[in-house]
Amino acid sequence: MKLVDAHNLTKTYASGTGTLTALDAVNFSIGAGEFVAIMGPSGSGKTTLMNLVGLLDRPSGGRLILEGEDVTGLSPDRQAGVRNARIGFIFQSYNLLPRSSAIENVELPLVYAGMQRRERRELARRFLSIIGLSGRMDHLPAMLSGGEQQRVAIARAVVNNPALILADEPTGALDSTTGRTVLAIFQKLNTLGKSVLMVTHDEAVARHASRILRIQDGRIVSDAAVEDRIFARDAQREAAGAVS
Amino acid sequence: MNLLESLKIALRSLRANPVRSLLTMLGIIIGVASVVTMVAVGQGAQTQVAEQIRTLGSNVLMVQPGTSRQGGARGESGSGHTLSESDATAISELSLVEAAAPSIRGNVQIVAGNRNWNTTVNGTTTAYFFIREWALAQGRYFSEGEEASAGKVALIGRTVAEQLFGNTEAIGGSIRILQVPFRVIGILDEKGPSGTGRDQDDVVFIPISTAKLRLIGSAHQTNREAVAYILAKARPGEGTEPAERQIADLLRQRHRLQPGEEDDFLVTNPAAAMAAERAATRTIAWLLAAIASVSLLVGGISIMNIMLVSVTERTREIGLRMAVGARRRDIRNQFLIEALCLCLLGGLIGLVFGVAVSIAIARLANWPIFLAPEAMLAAIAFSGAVGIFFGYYPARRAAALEPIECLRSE
Ligand SMILES: Nc1ncnc2c1ncn2[C@@H]1O[C@H](COP(=O)(O)OP(=O)(O)O)[C@@H](O)[C@H]1O
Ligand SMILES: [Mg+2]
Repeated sequence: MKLVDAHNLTKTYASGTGTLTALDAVNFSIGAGEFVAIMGPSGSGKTTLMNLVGLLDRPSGGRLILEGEDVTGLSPDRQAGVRNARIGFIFQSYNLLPRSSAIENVELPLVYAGMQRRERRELARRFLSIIGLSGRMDHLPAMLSGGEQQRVAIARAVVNNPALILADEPTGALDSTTGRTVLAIFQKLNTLGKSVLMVTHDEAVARHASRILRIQDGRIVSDAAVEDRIFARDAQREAAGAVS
Repeated sequence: MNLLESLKIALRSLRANPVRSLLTMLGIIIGVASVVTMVAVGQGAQTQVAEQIRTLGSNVLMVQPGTSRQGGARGESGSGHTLSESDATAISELSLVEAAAPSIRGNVQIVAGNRNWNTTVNGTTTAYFFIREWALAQGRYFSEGEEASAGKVALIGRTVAEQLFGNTEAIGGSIRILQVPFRVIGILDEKGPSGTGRDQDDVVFIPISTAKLRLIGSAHQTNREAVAYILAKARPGEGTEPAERQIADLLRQRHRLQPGEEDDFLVTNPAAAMAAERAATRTIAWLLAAIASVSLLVGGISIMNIMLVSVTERTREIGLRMAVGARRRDIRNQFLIEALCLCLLGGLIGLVFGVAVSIAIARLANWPIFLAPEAMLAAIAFSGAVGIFFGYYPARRAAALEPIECLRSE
């Protein structure tokens, strides 16, 4: 059973004159434990695809199967439950709540999962220290660097133990060193069994994945394993110590 | 997401914009403050009036000399000296009257030992205390013998007792009224302030016979039979009007007034007058409460407005919360609780203001401070209801947003 199965996934937008097809009957699947990069030029439909897979948006056509369950027609609240328990999001702009501390941001999915405060705190604390931010737990996002904010966002994405991690241009706003740290964390999470789906337009970033999906004008034009995969060794070493 | 969590988020977002929150709450603050003040003022006035009616005695009628209501020149009442002691006796024998007591009074200085005090000396009969249901704290009333023989005995009010005797024993003590020594035979129970704010306990009672003999010589009164007023107690029954009519008929007859001729006396029911005043205050209180409600309504609308703004401003936050698993009702409750907090907080601030103003007014008006906990609870509950009512629409709007639209916004 595949983790993600997309059948003729289609998204059209109404535009001034007619309809714009952002995603045109896309078919693909992602197995458990894969690290897939999605590449393509700007406007090709990468973000649209991520939003559909993440149940943030509804497809205009086609079906989406998550772990064997058709989630296309679920009610908004059921979809919220799926996002909460099975998907972790990482955004290019971090999307941390500005008035909440780092640890409170990490706790957020657990809050909606209905976890008790003590347990929640404990878990969030553990993930923040894994990610190397033990000393920043009570900092507001504004007091953290971009890399630190993105690490908080990663901790938030994985704290509820989802099977799938969706990252839309996670390194887009980071310098290359910080970006490598983030990629090292993804690779580590991947070796721990998480499936990662990452959008990027940077070839070098994409090569950290095990497989690359290329899309153009809303269609998948190539789907291949990465031959010369990069392992973010330098950054990995420091991160790995923390992750394991 | 539980309540405590939502509460924390709500308070945090209110704190993030303290000035805006405060301005938003203004309508609620003013509304609740007004409601609390109005209720307190209304009830304060009412309790005061009720208390005054109670201290007056039940079914008490007052007969004063002077022209009737219909008379052109009002304000003459009490100055005409047309009532006599025998009028009082005749009134007391009427079928609808239980008792009547004549009274003459004057303001004099009284002395006890080295202390002196200016007070009212009231010459009357023991019936007076029965009519006014005025019990003794200590001692006894005038005896029949003392009333008949112009005994030099006095009953003193609480205030006079305190002023002249302090902590020392007053019963059996001696006071001098216009150089005449009197023996204190009783101290009256405390009555408190009257309807006009006069201290009812600042008084000395002596038998009317004694008053006429010892005091009137020095006063400007010419008619030794004349009394200042007569108090009567109507028999309990269907109101006091029949007794009032009976007294009026009797006095017209006794004063030999021709049909068509104006009354030379005035029969009034002080309690009824006070009750009318009470009804008026109640009307005013309700009117002001209605105005306060309007300001609560305006407050509610401004809450709704600011919550809509807040939803717009925090669209991205809503999107993020939805992305990590917030259900629609989580978002709705979050904003609803925020509106509720805004209103309850405004209600509390309003309550504090209202209580402060009520106390200030009570002090100024010399009312008992009357703060009804039920009214306060009602005001707070009402402001909460305003929050839920006006917060519901913005909260539902927030909950109905699509996660992707929210995340794309900015
Ligand atoms: N909400 C929208 N309304 C209309 N058109 C949209 C909307 N979102 C995306 N598009 C269009 O869909 C296409 C794909 O967009 P997107 O998935 O964001 O591309 P990418 O992330 O690959 O740059 C683009 O042409 C974009 O203009
Ligand atoms: Mg994009």
